[in-house]
Amino acid sequence: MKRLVCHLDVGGYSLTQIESPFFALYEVKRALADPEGLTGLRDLFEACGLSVGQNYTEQDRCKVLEKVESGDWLMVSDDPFSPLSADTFGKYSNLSGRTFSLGSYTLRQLSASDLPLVQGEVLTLERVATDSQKVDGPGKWVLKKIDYDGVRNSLVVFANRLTSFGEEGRMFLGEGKDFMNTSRTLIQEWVPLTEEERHFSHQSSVHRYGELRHISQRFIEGADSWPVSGSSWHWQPVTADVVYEYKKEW
Amino acid sequence: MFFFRKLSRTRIWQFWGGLDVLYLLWYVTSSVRLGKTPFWNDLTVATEVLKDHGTAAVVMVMINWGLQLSIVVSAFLFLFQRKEAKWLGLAQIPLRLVFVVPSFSVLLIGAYLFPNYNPLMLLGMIVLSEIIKGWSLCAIRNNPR
Repeated sequence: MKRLVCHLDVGGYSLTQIESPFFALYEVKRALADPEGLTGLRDLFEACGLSVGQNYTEQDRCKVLEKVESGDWLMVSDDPFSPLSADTFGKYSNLSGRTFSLGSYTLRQLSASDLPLVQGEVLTLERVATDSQKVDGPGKWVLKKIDYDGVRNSLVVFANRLTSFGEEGRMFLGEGKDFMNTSRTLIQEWVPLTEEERHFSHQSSVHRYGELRHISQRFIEGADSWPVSGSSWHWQPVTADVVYEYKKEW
Repeated sequence: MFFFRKLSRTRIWQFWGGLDVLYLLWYVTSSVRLGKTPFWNDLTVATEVLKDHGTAAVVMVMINWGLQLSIVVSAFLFLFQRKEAKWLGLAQIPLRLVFVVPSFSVLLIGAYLFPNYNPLMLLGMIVLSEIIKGWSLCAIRNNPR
């Protein structure tokens, strides 16, 4: 049996029972001719400020269908054609918790521990409410990955060796200057603040959760107060593993 | 032709073994002069530096260290005329080119004495010396003709 449910009321249903909004849209389009034939459609009409039996304008029709397409209203079924649990590409990540990113041409899949929901897990009211709001929000940039430009860096190291060839009494690749001008890219991900950090949320910038940013760094000698010499070799621009971004004041 | 007739495998191997010893002595004496413990100090510093440079760098350093240790071995093998010396010497050639560690270790001392050397000319000399080494290990027979 098929039934339309507001996303806030799908507690108790498993992802395997929730139809993908894409196919739900098709079902609802068909049911518009006979609203009584689909349980919950009447409630959806009411949620859109419409009543069953009135003459609908094209605008009313779009309003109803938009609620289904956006996932505000979900279709639950004993045997869905394309359940949210099979949302491999994360098209409905705000509902299923799966993420698939093609940013910078990289294929990325969250680890099991990162998945807000796993296949077959019961979708509770609290989790749906939280996850659907997690598209954008305050947070912090957290280091996800470091890409070293391996081939380029090898050539740079080779060139460094040629110029430092005459230095006596040391093994090559044992000092920072041997890696001079090598480069790498930090990949940071925007993640929600923890409970302890929530007080910062009103000052925080807002980005889409899961958004990645890339920071290019170069290994060069720079000022450093710690060593006696006053300088050291390090990656620049210096970037912390966790970065809190303040809201921009306009 | 007279020069090649005078060459023998024994002399050639002593020559390359001697250069390996020169390389090691140059490193050890310079290191001690700078107040360091040869190998050990470099190993500890490298471990610290490598934390920040990814897997590729770690692999490069390990191969470089492997090459350094193999030079200790090849010095003995060449000087004691062991037949394994030839294969180890040949295997070292590509690594010596990649890590710019010339078999003709006099170049190292030359670069130290003349720090304004031309890097490309130096590279050319290293490549040439490695070609000569490869040829001498493969072509020179045991007995002088």
